[in-house]
Amino acid sequence: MINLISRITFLNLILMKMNKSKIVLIALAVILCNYAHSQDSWEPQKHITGYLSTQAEYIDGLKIFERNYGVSLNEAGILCTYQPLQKLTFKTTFVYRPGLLFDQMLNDAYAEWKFNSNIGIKFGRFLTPLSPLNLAQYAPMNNAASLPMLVTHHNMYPMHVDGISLNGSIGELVKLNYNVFAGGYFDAGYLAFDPIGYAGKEVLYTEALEVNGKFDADVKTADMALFGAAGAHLALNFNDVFNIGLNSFLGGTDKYVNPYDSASVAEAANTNVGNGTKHAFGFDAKLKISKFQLSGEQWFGKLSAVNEPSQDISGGFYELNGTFGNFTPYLQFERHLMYDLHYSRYVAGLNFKPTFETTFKLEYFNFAFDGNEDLAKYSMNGLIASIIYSF
Amino acid sequence: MKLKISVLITFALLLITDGVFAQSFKVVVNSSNSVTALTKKEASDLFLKKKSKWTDGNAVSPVDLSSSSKVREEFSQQVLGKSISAVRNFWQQAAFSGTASAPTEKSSDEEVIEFIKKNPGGIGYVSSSANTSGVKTVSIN
Repeated sequence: MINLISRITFLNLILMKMNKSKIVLIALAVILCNYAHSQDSWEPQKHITGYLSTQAEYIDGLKIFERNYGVSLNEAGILCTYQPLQKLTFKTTFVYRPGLLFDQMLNDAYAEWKFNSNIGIKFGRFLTPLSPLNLAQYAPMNNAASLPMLVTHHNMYPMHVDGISLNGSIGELVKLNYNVFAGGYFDAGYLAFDPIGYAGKEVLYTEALEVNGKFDADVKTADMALFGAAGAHLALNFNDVFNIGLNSFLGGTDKYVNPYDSASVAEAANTNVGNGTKHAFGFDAKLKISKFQLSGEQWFGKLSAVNEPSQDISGGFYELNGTFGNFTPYLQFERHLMYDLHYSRYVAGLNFKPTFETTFKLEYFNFAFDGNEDLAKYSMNGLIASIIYSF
Repeated sequence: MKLKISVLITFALLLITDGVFAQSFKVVVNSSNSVTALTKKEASDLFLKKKSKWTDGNAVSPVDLSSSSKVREEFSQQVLGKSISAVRNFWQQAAFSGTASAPTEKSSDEEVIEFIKKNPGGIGYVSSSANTSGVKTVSIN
C-alpha cells in the first residue's frame, strides 16, 4: 500500500502539467499493475472437459417419420474454463445436438468475477440457473438416456439467458445458494433432441396428425424473446443430504407459436404473432438417504399474449434412483399441462458407469396424453440405449 | 485349541489395526498455515471445495496429482472415500453445472510443493518419501 501511494504521488509530481484524462489513465495503470503484482502467486488455470454420446432408439407405433428407429451422435459437448486471476474465470460450453442451430448449441460463454464465496457477478451467456434439471442436462450428468420434457420443451424457462447474474452462497454445512439474473433469451421451443426427430416434439407431432394428417419434421418452431427476462433462484442445502429451491422466471416474448391455431405446424410458425409474457414459478427438492435419492421439480406458470387468451401451464418431473456400485437404476415420471393438454411420460432405466470415461444407459419410456380419449392413440413406447465417452 | 487361539489372535490384531493404515502419502500445507491436523472429513471438504476458507481467512487452494498417480489413488480412497474415477466424475459435473472447477493438477511431488509454497491457502498431498522442506506436513486423523 505504501509503495502504491508513493508511486502515485511521484507520478502526480511529474505529470502535473498533463491534462486530467492522461493523469487518470496513468493512475489507473499503476493501480492495475499493483493488483496484477499481488496476483503473482496465482497460477492461471485452464480446464477442458467434454464428452461424446451415441444413441440408438426404437419407438413403437410411430407414424409418418421415415423410420421408427435411429442411431446418431446425439450429443457432443466441450467445456473450457480459463482462470487468469483468482477471482476471474472465463467459461465456454458448446454442446452439439442434431438439428439445433449454432446459437442454440452455445450454452455458456461468460466471464465471472467472484468477489468471495458469498457473492459473484457473471455476464455473458449462461444456462438458466433456475432448474437443477437444466443445469444437469448433459449426457454424463443425466442418469437417463433421454432428457426431461421440462428441459426439451422449454415451456417454463429458456435453456440459456444472455445477460447478467448475481450469485453466491452463504454458509457451509447449511448453505443458502442464490442466483438473480436478467437479460434476453432465444427460447428453443419445441426442438427434437433425438436421432429420429421425435423427442421434444411429442405435442407438435400429435397435433399435426390430428389436425392435418401431415407433420413436417424439419420445421423448427421457436418462441423468441429478444428482450426482458429476469429470474431468481433461492436454495437451501443441508450438508448435501437435502436441498430445496424456489424459482421464478418472467420473460417477454416477441412472438410465440400456438400450434392449435392453424391447419399445419408450418403455417403456425408464421401466424399469430403478438407480444406476450411468460411467468413461471416453481420449486425443486432433493433428498439423499443411504444409496437412494429422490428428486423433483414442479412448475406453474402463465402465458399471456395481446391477441390470445392467457394459457395456464404447468410441468413436474420426479426421479427415484439408487446407486449400487457402478449401477444406477432409475424411475422417472413427468406430467405437463400446455395448451389445455395434459401429457405424461414414464421412464425406467439403468445407468452403468464402470469408469469415468465410459457410461452405458438403457431405458424404456412411455409417452401418453391424459384424460383425452381422442389422443390416446398417440401414446408411444420406446427403447433408448446410449454410450458416452467422457474426457 | 492352538488353531482357535491363532484365529482369535489374528482377529484381535485386525481389530486393533483397523483405522491404522500404512500411508504412502502425506498431506502438506503452506508453512504459514496454523493447521497441524485435520480429520478425514475436514480434509475431504477442503479438497472437494466444500469448504472455501481456512480459519485465518485465506482462500483454500487445493492441488491434485495427475489422475494416473498411484499416490493420488491411495489418497482418494483413504481420505476422500472415492476412487479417482468418482472424483473426476464429481468435478465434471461441477464444471458443467457451473458450481466449481477442479483443482489444479500437477505431475510431480516437486510441482505440488512449489505450488503450496506460492499459495498461502494451498493444500496438497505428496508421496511419503517426498522432500517437504519449505512446507508443513499435517496429520490426517
